Amino acid sequence: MQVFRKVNTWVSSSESRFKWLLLLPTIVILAAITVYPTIFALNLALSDYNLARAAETLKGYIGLQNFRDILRDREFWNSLKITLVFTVAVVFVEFSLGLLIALALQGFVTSRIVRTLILLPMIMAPIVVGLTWTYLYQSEFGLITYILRTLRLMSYTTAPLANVKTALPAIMIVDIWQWTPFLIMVLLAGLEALPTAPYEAAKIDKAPPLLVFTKITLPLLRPVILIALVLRIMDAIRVFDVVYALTEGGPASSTDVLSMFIYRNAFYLWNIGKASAISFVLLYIIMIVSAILVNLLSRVKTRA
Amino acid sequence: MATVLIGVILVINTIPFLWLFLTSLKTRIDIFSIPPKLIFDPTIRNYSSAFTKRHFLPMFYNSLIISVSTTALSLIVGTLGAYVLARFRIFGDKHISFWILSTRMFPPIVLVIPFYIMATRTGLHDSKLLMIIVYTTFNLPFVVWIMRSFFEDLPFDLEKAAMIDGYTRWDAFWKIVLPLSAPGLFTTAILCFIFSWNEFLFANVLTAAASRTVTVGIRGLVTSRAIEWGEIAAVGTLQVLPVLAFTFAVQKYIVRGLTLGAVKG
Repeated sequence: MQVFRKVNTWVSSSESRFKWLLLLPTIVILAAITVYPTIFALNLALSDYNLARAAETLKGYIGLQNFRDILRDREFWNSLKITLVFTVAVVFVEFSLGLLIALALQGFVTSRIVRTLILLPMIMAPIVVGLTWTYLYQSEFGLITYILRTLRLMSYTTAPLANVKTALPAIMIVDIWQWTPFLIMVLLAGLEALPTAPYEAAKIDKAPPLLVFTKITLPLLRPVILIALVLRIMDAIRVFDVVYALTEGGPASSTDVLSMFIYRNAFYLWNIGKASAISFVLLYIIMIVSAILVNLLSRVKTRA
Repeated sequence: MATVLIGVILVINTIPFLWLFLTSLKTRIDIFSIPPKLIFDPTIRNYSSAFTKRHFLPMFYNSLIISVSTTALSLIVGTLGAYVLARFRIFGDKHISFWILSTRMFPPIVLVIPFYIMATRTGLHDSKLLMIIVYTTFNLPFVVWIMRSFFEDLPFDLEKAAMIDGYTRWDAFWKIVLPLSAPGLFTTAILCFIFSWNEFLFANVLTAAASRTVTVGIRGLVTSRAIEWGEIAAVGTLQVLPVLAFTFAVQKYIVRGLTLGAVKG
């Protein structure tokens, strides 16, 4: 006990000692497990490291060659396009649906069971979500396939995940199913925390509902909306598990999102150098997008 | 109106999982029937074969050990860091906070490649220790951000009063602040556990026979020869149930947790 007391007094006796002792473990551990691997990855990205080729045929450091190759790679541009289309489409639909539903449900979602079941899709492991929907989309006995065929919306010669035109929308539907609940709950929390005074003033002035929405609700809700969008966009850009479970990027690369493209280059083709280089391109894209969004966010915050 | 809408949402949200659960109770013949069967003779054979034939017990054990360990590690280290960032001015604290947040936003596909190479070189590949370290990359920044927001909710006067009463800084944190933050700590712990329990990409690349987790094992039931839908459904159901129970327990703070403390639900 005596020792503990001594340590306690020593730790607490100086403010600067106290705060650095408590904060340093976080900084050191985080640096060791994220900064160091990132530098390691940058080294890989600047090399022709390839586990499928004999070591003596490799040159090692090749400078920016991987990046030059990527920019000329049609598969990369295809993958980038698919990722952007996917991200914009799912986030747009999820946000619109989420906002409409949240507005309709204000004050109604109180039961613990209802809240938990609304959250169910997003707390399920993405790989389990992917496999469940693979089963629903299965080309012979899948429930969705069966319903679509019974309603004559889809022919017997094709299936949702087998067609180049429908595979990506099919994956988007899964993502929308999984993540709209997130937007519903976040926007609902935001709406229910709004101050009541502006609404009372609007009521006295007999302001029309649409005006109340665009002039009061939306501006007040902006910080919450932006945070929800930032988180969702970041997740959508790096989507992997669901795609891996449903299509592995196929058919004919029609669902080949960037994470899948990188994974394939690294762990099917063992082209570690090239895969690392593409992963840095993905990292730059994420950094640029997040910088723009964080900038928007801080401007909203200072104004509020 | 709202009640109808809630009803529709609940049906859409739960049908895939309920369908998975029903499938887990079906025989192979019922699974492959067209039209899909709603009424059938239930069997638990998928559950028993998942554990006897497919050896899912060690995988559940691995998932459990890895998830609990990374949660404990992140919580102990991150809570201390979060307290400092919430309470003290530190040289460069804004930059430190932003850097911590940015590591949370890091795409796992960027880290998994260097981790794979480093792991094979050091012999850590396919070890639980490696998975605990790797999962800490996303759990630690999460803990720092969300606990910081919980600490900021408590008035600083609490600690001031305690220190006037003769408490040391550490005692004020340990005996006053931490107990008051218990709901936040509990929610954070559960969310860290869920993130780790559900993680697939890192585990798929970095584990093999010895420390394979449930998510990797369940994907392993998809092979080029056959897809074991009955067993996938059984393991999937068992994988989701604890998460569902945990979510039920912490749903009051879950929105706050999932927005990294930014939206107070």
